[in-house]
Amino acid sequence: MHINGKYRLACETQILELNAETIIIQPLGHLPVLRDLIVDLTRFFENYRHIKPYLIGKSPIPEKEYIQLPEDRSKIGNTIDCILCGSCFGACPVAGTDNAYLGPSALLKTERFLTDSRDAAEEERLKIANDIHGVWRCHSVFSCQEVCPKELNPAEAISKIKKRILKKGSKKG
Amino acid sequence: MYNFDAVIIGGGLAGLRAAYELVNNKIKTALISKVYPIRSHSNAAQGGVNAALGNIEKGLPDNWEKHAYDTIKGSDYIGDQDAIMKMCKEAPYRIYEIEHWGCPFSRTDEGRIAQRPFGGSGFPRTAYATDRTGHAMLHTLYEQIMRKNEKNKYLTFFDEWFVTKLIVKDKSVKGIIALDLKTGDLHPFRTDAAIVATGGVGRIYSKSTNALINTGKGLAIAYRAGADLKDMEFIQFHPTTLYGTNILVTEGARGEGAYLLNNIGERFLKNYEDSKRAMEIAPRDIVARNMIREIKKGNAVNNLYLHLDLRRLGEKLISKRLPGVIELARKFAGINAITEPIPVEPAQHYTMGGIDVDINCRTKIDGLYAAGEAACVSVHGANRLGGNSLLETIVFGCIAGEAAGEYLSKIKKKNERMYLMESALREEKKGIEDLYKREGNESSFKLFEEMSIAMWNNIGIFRNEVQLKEGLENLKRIKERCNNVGIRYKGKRFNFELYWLLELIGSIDIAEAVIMGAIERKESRGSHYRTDYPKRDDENYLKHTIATYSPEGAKLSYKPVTLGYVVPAESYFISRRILTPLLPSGSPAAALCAAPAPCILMENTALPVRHRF
Repeated sequence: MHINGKYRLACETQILELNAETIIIQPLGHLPVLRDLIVDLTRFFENYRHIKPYLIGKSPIPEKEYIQLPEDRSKIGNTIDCILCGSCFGACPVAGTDNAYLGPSALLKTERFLTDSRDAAEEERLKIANDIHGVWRCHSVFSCQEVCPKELNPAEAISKIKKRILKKGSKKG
Repeated sequence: MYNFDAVIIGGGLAGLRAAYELVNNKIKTALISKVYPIRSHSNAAQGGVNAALGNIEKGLPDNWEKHAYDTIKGSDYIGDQDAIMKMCKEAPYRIYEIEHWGCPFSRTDEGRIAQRPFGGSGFPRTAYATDRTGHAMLHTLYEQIMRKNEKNKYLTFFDEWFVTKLIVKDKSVKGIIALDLKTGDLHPFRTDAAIVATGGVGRIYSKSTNALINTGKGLAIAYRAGADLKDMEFIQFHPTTLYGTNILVTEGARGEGAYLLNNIGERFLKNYEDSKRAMEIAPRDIVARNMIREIKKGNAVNNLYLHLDLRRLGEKLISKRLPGVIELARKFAGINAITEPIPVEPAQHYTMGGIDVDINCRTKIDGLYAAGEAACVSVHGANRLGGNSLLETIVFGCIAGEAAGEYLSKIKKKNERMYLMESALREEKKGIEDLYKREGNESSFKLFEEMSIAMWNNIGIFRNEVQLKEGLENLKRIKERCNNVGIRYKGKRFNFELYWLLELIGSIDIAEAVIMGAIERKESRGSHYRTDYPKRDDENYLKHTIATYSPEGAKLSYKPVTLGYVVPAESYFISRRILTPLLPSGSPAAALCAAPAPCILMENTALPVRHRF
């Protein structure tokens, strides 16, 4: 929710911390309001589903676990913390103007799987992100990073995906 | 009218795991959840999930038999031993499966799944993803279901829908009725199989670590439809929850070496017989009881709470191993856990009881299944071990999905139910319309609060006959006052006054079963502590309590516990006196009684283990 000028999680925001006489609470941005502070998250989750938000594991699948060294595990250490709260989506000025924009959290999820040493679908993932409504729509405003209650950085993840695409020399859009 | 082969109620780990199984078998399924599935309470699990992977070998290698032994002992011998063995045997396979699906477990130096020690386990057996294991597992499962569902769409999600009724005829499931919270409309679902996976009932207590959604509504609709509830009196209390909000501070904090202190900074656990040896890492129920005793003595800080002191661990270790604890202390108590002690108090944490199901998650109603915390198989008995709750969800979620699929393939589909569904819908609609018309001056929010405070005061950590009976009377009064709840807001969209009234009616049924079970269990076992009967009584109470719904209140009966592998012994840190009278003389069990080491009898080696990747 938008609470006194910033997107925050209402469940963990302390009134004292706001240090204000008046508290103004508004629903999450860019999404249709169903009632009062409740928004319809359909678009948000459609974007999430669009980017193939699941591990496509390398073959052959081992009998026990995949071996993933601690240094490889630490590469996904942050991005896995995303709780899909939508704060970044509400704060993103691009999400407000481009209805088809995938948005910060979906692209962060893309990066989460791109950096997972167990994943085998780099090409497919870059193809989805490499779109005029994908990573190239991000204007690096960094509002997402500013509001993320989990202190994640979707804008940085997006720029990393851009670099991956450019490296392959296949920019589209 | 919606038409599905199977309906799953609840979208946490158990519900999603069942959904995966059904979708994998191309069964048209609806998953109904009152929140978005990824907001389910499975999310909140911190510490980890148990499985004898043996990735960290310390002394002897771990195996599933040892895991089963620890679980049976932890259950204070009232867990069904066949079910426990099945769970422990399948554990590694379910863990490898979810790892293959992308679950970001923490790793050992060799790149294997990391495991840490947890209370009640003889080995570092708890696999974890930092202190956010539930979150990691829930998202992984949800993700893989997205993958499965991408092409064929066998699964339909009904997010922010609330099931109000289960339709049963001739002892088999015919359908359900659910309320679309977004529109306020009731919809019938025709289905032959329903799986209840709605989690625990923690919110019937005012002090609880559970999410607000954990009201027990899933149990209540199954109960009213004729399914039994089992062992409801066994409610686990967690010693360390943040004072005031009761947000969980993981057992890992004490495991890493934090101290519990009273108002003069003394480690008071040393003053109690049952905790003086193990101190902070004594079992949850013992620590929680001694904390309450200490508070009652007047030794609480500011007469309100006790201190959990992490300071001696140092900034480096705290930040590395317990980042979640630092975050919640800062956000919810304004405390810097590195330099200040955290104010804590015990609170309700887990529901060991639940819908009575067999080892294949079947209830006594054909086509009705339950899994996860909503069910009682029972694998936790009188006290759950840390790390076994997440395990239960993925093992038995899978089994419930399989069992439902098998049932669906066997029955003949009948199409003569239109009339039944329509009349049930009419009745339910009229019920809700009547609620809207009410003009009483009671509020559903307030009554819910009063009920939960009464539960905390009368059926809390310490119980006795006088208090329990008083609790039952209080509950009856609240039940009567429900008739005077007025709904002031008449709108249909997200009407929370109506919603909480429907929740309250369900929670009262459940609370009643908890109290009645507690009154009749005249012994102390695991989490159920009777000051008037402080000893465990295997002769009279080594049995499951079964509660059956009747309009006058719960009707109680009892069911035997499945034994046969481990012999009941006095639990925990007390001497191992073996209760030989329970055993047929000359049996292999009796012969093993005298053994000083953990004894497991391998009589049944035919437990099925499924490898399916």
